Amino acid sequence: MTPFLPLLAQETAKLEMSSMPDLSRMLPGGLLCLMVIVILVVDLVRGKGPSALYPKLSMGAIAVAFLMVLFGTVKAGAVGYGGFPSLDPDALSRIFKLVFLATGFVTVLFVERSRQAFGREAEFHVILFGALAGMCYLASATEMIGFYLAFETVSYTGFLLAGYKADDRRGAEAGTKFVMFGAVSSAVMLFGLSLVYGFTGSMQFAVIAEKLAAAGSQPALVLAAIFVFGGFAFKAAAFPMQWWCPDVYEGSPAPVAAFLAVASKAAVFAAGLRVLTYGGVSGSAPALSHLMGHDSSIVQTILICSAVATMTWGNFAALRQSSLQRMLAYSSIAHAGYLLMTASVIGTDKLGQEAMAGIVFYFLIYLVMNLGAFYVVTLMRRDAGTADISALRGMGRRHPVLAVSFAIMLFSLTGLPPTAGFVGKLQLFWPVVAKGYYLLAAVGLVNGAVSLYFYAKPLREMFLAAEVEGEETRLAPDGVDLAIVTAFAVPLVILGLFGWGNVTQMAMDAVARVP
Amino acid sequence: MLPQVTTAHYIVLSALLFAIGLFGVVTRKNVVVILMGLELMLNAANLAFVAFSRHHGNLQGQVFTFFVIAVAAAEAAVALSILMALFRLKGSVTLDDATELKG
Repeated sequence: MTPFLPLLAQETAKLEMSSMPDLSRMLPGGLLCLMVIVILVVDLVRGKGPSALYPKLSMGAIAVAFLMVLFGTVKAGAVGYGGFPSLDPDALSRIFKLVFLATGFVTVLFVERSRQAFGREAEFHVILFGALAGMCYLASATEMIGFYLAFETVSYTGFLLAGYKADDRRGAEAGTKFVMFGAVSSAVMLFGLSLVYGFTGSMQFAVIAEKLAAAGSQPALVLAAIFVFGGFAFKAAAFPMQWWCPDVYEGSPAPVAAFLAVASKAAVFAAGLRVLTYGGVSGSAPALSHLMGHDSSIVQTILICSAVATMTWGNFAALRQSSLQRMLAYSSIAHAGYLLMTASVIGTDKLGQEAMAGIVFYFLIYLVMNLGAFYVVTLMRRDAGTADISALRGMGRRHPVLAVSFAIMLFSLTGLPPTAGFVGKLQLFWPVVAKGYYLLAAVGLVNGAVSLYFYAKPLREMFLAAEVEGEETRLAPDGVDLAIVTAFAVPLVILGLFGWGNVTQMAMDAVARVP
Repeated sequence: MLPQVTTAHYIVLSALLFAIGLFGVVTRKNVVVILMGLELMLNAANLAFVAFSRHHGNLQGQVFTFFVIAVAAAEAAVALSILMALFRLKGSVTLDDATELKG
């Protein structure tokens, strides 16, 4: 034990010695934080009342941040104060930042198109920017403090967005359930983090990975791994923390559900990938997977158990849903299961790297197909006032463009060729099969077959079910709606038929770090 | 003479606090009481961080604690504001009344 005051003097000296970190590399995140303040000030200056200004401002700022990330040069290596590197804006975080920002942009667009009076409009955009900034930092955090703060930023903004329609009983209930589950699971995760710190004496993932590899298996570390996984599982909507997901997605406005389903899940997987492979994918230490020896590490065991339970629960519970929004919630749980399945083979070898690239690739596709499907829900709630699948009846005849586009998204979510979803599923399953986990892959395939049944439900309503006289579908998409839906469907087909080689290469580049 | 207080004592206390908090969270139906249990869980983690920080002779654990306190304040603000909305609409803050969404 070292006395406190000399220690403090020592740390202060270290901080004074160090030079100013290169913050320019954190610019996109900084812009998002700045927008939080800008919108608050604009709101203060121009007073209450709805305005077309906020969506334009938000979409503009998000587009600028997106371009900054897209065209900015990637220079790996963490940024931080006083010899305490905390954020690494590397290639892996870059590709996930693109996913978050694209989702944020689309969410604002959906809110616009939903023509719902959101009330207190400026605050919605403030919270959204807070969420996006938190996600960008979460994807690049390389130590526990930064990781925890970014994680909580994403969580709390998510709670506020889910309960945003505070005058709506279902909205308030969704928010309450979300905040209760979220706060408990993050407290559990925090306790796990304190145990990890106790064992290793460091906050840096890289140092922790080294120390853990040397420490070997210990009961308290198993407990810590389970606790930390609890926090991750909550945000990813994976077993055993998936209970909030259907209620929250159903109770929140459809655009918010879309945002949570894509961006929030991508954020936690970005952090998870970094934790799993810390030390470099092609480097030496496969981080936490050393906990129980290399072959059947405790982390791997947790991931496999959770993956099987998550996808089975998600797919089977989705079978009996009549609300499309709730069904998509279960489908998003099932997808978390597939992703965890592939995450369980991540390692330092070539196969492990392919698994990681597969997850990144899947998120790029998941972004398109899931947001597209949620746009259809947005339209249903706007025009028909319900997300019930029966509201789609007869769409195939009345609005063929919308129906066919939606069908493509559903095919892609199921993983049927010739859509991008097929290619994505292939890349998720391939590393698992190649690793020799045949049983795990078989469970995944059976689940895929089950999902075919519930994804076919909306198809049956749209194309096969006969319309009842006087009960025609109330959906009235205008030209812009059709353009948006088509814009989501066309890339899925193009990517599925050809051209996915480029995107695969993009994913491979993102995970290939210089050792 | 009193026995010396070691890091292990702090960790046992922290684990007990955490267990009490978790027990409260799992068994109680009133959301306000659940939030109290949550505070216990967060502070259990804080205690562990500070104890480990002294044990390892670096300040990172203590720094983390400050951030956790700030996050706990944010959590209370967010959770209570959502609870206010629920209370206004349903007239109660127990989880048993929040059962409209299911299936």
